[in-house]
Amino acid sequence: MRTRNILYELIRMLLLLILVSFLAFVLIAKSPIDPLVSYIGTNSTLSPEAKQEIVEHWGLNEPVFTRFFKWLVNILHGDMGTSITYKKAVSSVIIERFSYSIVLMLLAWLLSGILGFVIGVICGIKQGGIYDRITKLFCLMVKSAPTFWLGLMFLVVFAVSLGWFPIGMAVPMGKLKSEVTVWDRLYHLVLPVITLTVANISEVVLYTRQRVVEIIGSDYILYARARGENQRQIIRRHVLRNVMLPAITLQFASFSELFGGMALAENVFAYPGIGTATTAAALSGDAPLLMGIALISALFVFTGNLIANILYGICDPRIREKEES
Amino acid sequence: MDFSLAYNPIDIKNWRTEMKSKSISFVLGIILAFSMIGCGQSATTESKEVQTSETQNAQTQQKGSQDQAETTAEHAVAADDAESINVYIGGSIFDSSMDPVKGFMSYGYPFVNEALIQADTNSEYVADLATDWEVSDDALTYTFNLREGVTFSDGTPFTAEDVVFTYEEVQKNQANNENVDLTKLKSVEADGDYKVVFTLNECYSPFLDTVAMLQIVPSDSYNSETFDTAPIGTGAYKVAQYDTNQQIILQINDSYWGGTPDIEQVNIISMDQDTAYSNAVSGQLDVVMVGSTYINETIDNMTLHKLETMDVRNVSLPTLTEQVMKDSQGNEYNVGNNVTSDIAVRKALSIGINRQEIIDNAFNGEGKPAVNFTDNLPWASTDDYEDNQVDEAKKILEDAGWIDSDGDGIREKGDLKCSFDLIAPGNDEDRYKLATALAENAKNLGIEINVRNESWDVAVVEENTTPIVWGWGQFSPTVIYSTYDSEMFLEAQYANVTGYTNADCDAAIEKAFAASNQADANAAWKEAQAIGDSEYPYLYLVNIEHSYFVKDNLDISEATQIPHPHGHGSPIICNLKDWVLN
Amino acid sequence: MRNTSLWNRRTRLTLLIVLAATYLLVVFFWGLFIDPSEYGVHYENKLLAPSAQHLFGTDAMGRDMFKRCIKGLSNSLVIGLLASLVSSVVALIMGIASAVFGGFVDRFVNLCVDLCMGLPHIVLLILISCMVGRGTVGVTVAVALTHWPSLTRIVRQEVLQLRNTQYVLASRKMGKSYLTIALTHMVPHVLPAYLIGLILLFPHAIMHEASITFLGFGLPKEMPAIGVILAESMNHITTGKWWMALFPGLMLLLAVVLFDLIGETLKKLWNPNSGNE
Repeated sequence: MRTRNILYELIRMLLLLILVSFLAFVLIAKSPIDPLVSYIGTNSTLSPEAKQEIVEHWGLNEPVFTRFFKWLVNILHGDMGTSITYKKAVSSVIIERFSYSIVLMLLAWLLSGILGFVIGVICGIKQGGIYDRITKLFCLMVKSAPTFWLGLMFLVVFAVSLGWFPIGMAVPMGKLKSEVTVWDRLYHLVLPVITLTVANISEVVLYTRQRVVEIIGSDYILYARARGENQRQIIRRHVLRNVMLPAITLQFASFSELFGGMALAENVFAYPGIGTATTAAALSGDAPLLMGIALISALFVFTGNLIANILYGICDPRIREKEES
Repeated sequence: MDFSLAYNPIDIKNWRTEMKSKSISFVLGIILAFSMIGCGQSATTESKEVQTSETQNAQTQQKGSQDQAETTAEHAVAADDAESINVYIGGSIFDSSMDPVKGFMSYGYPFVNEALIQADTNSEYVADLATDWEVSDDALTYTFNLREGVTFSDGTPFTAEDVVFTYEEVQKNQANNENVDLTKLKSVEADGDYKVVFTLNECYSPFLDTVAMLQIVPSDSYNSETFDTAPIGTGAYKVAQYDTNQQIILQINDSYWGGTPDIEQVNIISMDQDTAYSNAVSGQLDVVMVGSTYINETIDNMTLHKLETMDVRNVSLPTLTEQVMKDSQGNEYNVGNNVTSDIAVRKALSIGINRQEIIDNAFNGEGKPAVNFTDNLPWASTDDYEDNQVDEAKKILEDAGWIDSDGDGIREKGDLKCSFDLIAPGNDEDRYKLATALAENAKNLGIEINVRNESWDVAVVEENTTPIVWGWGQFSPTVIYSTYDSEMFLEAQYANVTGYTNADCDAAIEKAFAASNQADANAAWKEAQAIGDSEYPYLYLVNIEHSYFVKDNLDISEATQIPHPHGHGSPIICNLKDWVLN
Repeated sequence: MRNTSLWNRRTRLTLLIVLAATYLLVVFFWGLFIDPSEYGVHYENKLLAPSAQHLFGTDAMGRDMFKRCIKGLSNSLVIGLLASLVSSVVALIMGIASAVFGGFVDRFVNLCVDLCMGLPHIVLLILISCMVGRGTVGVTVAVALTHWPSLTRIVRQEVLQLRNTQYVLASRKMGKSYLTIALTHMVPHVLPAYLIGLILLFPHAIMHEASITFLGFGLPKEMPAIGVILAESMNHITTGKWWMALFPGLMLLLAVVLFDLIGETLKKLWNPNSGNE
């Protein structure tokens, strides 16, 4: 039964993914950006004949639907086209950029999840205390601050003023790949990861805290206390157990915000990932790359949602029953 | 009631509180697996990268006679030595493919690939891979004798075959090369190993400029994919590593024909200008290109060098009145601007504004006032005139009927206000500052300029109706054709956007193209500019300087720096092989 | 005793809302009617540090940063308002239709919501703003068109709860039309949740506007906007001009916090039970 649900979910997601791609494709195709302009640059001395050749070469005059269908067929063959800005295959641009971004997002995701959960549980248990109040205020502030501004502030303090961390790049200057160590990479990741973690942590903290408060106030905790379980046992046996899974699901369901935060953080720290590629592609009207990025980001969000839905479905019997009926 | 605005597709609140521990371990399992996938992914990418560079090495090794792998390893050690420098020269070098066939570095900075000829410090062409050349009397045949004993960095010898291959490759893929236009080239043939003969369809006097723009690739090992990031050339340096939008690591090409350069390794770094500046402050960069924002700052152990350029900024002032016109294909365009179409407004601006004050305000004094293309180009007009003639300019405006009758400081002529929009295009802080300073200055004349910062997409849509801040600067005089010739109007983007039409000017340009020697061609180009500039279709403002902070122990050989073309940043490496690190 | 404390709490909360709203309204109207010359170019005042004359300092063109921030925040509020208006109409119609008609309509609405949420919000914003041609129009349309899904969900959920209540079923049996039921029963019931959702939508809209402007897709450089100011400040913070980044960011943060505060407080006032959360 479970397998069938997952399968159903997968198919639904796949169809949705195609529709989302189509939406993105139409948006890009309908944009007034003349790809020829972004292609020939501002200082070109090309003859009109040569320009015409470029238009024909990139097939810029065909109708939208045909272009989408062509694009879809090519995707299935593993060909995502050529990026006009990078003059490289879109797939290779995306693989290279995403490999940098995924590390950034994964680290921030894990850190904000684990830290946020721990802080949330402590706050929930010590509800109303000074620690709880400070954390709540902090979360409110962080939630309200734009990610890029947080990044800017970290940049000013830790990189510009104190000089503790490098600015820009993902590896040290002039180091050949064979010499770059994991530590070099982590060193360059510190500030972007901290920014992204701080930007994402408040939701986990606030959610966890609220759930813990609810559970502690519930009847079965009262019963447990009456049975003589001590605080430690209650937290371990009841609170953690019941809060962890929803919190994890929430983390999976927040891939969309994670991606958005990543794009902003990367732009602030000039980190060469998919976020900086997104702005570069969009600013120069690089339709093939933009399309590729839209697809990959949708895939990323869908993966998160899929896992969240599966977790949700598995663990909540009511949902299971509803779908079975 | 649920007020939740969280953007998650499932409703977390409906979680059932009781759960089995089985499911928890399941979830933990998933997380563990996920994090392992994550780690695995980064690990695979890394090893893949290593693999690619290894394969590349293997390829070059196969083709080359030298032991590449060993030299690479040798230089890799040098990375930590003093003999390695980090330079920031803007982003343009990273934006495009490094393949000369696709138009890389077409203004001629021969550090990896070299062209047959190159510009010298006087903007005249001198030998590079060619030793000498001659042009037939009818100017249809160009014959180049090639340098002997030159080898590519992969060890293969450089011969006429490579030249023919390169030109034919560009012709075949003209769509991929926006910079080198070979549509006028009829054929290119090798005459023996060291002589190449070019035949043109028709007279085309800027052909030498085209030759200087196209750098030669090896016919044996050319690969349109790998050359995007790892071109093989005859220049002083070769690409040791290419990290997209991070850095390009150059190392000495041991088989370079022109002697061994001083600096072992040059790392060209990609970042934003502000990031680069702070890296320079922290001592990480040896050369950093800066815009006007930073020229009054000081950095320890670094000196600001302002280098001569041919890079000018001007404003297009549409010469037609507002109307609808058709191009040769019958497409209709809105063109013209009722204010700037009055020559009195154009002339008053050109002679009445104070360029030095504009430069002081906008660029902290960086740059020289300009009223036409720069004098360091042999074909550029040298007819300069005084500006800041405020009274004269006001008189011109008043004579033409532009009078401030309502006392708001802005002139009117009937119902028409002497006011127009000015687009500062793209994400270029300096152009925006320049436009704003111009607008402030024009207020003195009673002319209102509303500055708008728009993307290039918007700018090109409005290019025939709204004045725009442009940047020009190149060796080739074809820019005169693009900006003044009436047949270019509406036929190509950026070309003659003012709709300037003058039969005499067109005739002079035609004469320039058809000239059979450079002297005649240059005279004709100057004639065309003299005619054109007398009607002020462009408001020239400034010949900008390119500013770089350079470490005090690094000598960038200013004596061999050519006048820098447009494209702030990359021109400084035009003479990379002459740089000395003390 | 209990009643008085509750009354006190209500007064306190109401007062809080009034104060927050006043601040936001003052910024909004001040910015709306400010004379552009107040944040105009003064080359003699380039890059001054904060002082009594220039509370937030000046920028590289000598423009007063405080006035620019006021105007910028006001511009953001206008865009937020437009986004809320568009989103509210779309969400109300789609949410109620989806819940009332069910079946195909419900599926369609859900599909639209899923489509909109399938892309990361920032990517969708960038795509829409590119389609419209960037600039002021681009960012306004993008922000206005992408904030309805969450509100639609709220409305739909509220109406769903209502659909099977006795009095709705009764009026259905009495032969009332869908439209009458929607207007007489659904809208009044949904309204509070909907209005609060609307207020809580504001901070999202403002932040998204600032974010994509910062990335270079939003408001143009000549328009005072927090995103523009912060993007500009990137060039200056490395030379120690900290005020260009700190104050504008704090102003944006304050506005977002206040909107949040108003929304959450209204929620508590409307539904005192949730105040325990």
